Amino acid sequence: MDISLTTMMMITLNGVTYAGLLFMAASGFTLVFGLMRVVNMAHGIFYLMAAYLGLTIYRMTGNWWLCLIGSSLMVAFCAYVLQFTLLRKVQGDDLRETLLTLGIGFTVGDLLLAFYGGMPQRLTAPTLFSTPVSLGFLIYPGFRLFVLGVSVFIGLFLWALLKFTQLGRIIRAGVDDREMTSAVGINIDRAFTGVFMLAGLFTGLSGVIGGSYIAFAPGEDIHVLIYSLIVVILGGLGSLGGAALGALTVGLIDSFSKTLFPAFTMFFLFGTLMLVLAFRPYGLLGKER
Amino acid sequence: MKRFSYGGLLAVGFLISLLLPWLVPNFYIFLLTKILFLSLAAASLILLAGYGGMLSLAQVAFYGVAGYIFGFCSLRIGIGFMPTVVLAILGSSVTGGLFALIAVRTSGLYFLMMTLALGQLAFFGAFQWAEVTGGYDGLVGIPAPVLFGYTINSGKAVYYFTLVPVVAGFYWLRRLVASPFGLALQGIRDSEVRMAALGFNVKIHKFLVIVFSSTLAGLAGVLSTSFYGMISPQMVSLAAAVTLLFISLVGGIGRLEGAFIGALVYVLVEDYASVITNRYNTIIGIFFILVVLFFSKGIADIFRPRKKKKSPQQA
Repeated sequence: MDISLTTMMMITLNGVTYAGLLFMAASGFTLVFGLMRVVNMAHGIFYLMAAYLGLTIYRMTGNWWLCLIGSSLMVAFCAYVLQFTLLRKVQGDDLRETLLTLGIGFTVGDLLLAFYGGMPQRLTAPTLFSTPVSLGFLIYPGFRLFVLGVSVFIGLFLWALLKFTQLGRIIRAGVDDREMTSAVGINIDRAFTGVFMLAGLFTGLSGVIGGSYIAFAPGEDIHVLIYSLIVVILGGLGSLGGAALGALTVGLIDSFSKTLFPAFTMFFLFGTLMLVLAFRPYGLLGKER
Repeated sequence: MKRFSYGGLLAVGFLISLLLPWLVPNFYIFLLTKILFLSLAAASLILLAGYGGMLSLAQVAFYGVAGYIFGFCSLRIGIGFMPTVVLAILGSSVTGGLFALIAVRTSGLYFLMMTLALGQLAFFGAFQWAEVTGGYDGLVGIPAPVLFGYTINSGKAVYYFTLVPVVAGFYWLRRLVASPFGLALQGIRDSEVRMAALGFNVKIHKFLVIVFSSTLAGLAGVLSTSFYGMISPQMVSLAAAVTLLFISLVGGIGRLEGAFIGALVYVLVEDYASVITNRYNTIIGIFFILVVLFFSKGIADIFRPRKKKKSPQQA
């Protein structure tokens, strides 16, 4: 297969912008699973829920920005309810967390199917983004650049939050030693609930943005969950930079293999994951604990 | 009152299972057969998760590999029934072995994620490798098994055809978990470091139990594929893995025989709920959540006599 330089650039750029979407979708998962070690298998369903809620709001108002805000807030609230009512009961027990959130994903997925049907849907992004942007060497869809920008913003925001704020210090301390942190008088449960809501908010944002980027249908939740898992595990649990690196790896592998060997995308992805884990069991940038 | 011995209870259960097809209408024989191979699949998970401490979402992958090999060979390559079965089960064992080579290096959550990755790889593989797997539709019209010149296609015949390997599988599993290997495995589940310090080779034990478990899941996959006469990607999906977890969990993940109770509950709920509503998955999901929250030892635990708790003053 003969590939020109421009095509090569195009595939790379596609991979990088897709990595942006992946990082955005996985950012909430990095917080909850990577940092707090809460196995949230319902992560994918939050994404899908955001996309469908966005669809409902769009049908009612016709305003994409309203979808984005409304549906992320609602998903953040759902995350709060889930954490406060159910997950707190099984906190610290990996097995029961896994099973409980799997059960929730399974149930909500079936309800969404009942409510919205099985046909693929798509949100319409504002015309502002549908105009192509000239990058000098090639013309590129504006929306994809917007996605990349938002994900870079989320990454920087989370980095600054964890590094410089009081909440960030509490989270890092709580992740390292939960009991000692609460023993010095910090309400660790409240901080963790806050993080869970923040994760819900980001997942909600990514659901609406992702739903305008590629079509979604029942089953997309599992797709998102798997990709988020690969991103977070490839990069290493608890490492924000690792998640970014993981997203970039997955995005590029996905973009190149879809162009060159479309039938084997999944094999390349999982093959990479297994290889990385075989040689670095804690991920690319993860630390053993 | 003197309690019956547990072994005696199992023997009675086995006798009942031999007689049951003559006592119930044909439709229930169909459900009973389903319970049998589902409970074998769940037992393979209980061996891994309950006795080995390795929760797995990959059992459906082993189940599927065996099912697809069985389906493909019966449809395209005529090598006779028994060689096909052996090839299919061998396929799932080899898959399990290859997977175990990498997976024994991980534990806990990382292991779970590896199994999820393998399960999904099988699912997407079943979709994408359409020349062999039939893609979305799967492999359909797999002929009924022919044993010693008899075609096994009546309800009762299929029941007994399923019962024999399932009972054999359970008998072998019970022997396995009570053997020195099984005891060492439970030791590893409770404390890897301590067992390693005692001189046990932790990795070999984990490797072997993954292979055993994948072999049994493969057997269940063959039985299921031959029962339905088809296999499709749906049977390898995450939803199927959750179903299997549901069965193991409802029966109680700490006891092999719990698998029968779990499968019984699942098949009944699925059958009755699907008559009332299309949303039987919602009902199963809510049931699942309730079990996780309130009966983490399985609903069979309700019937077990409670040990009286000592009050602090007595102790």
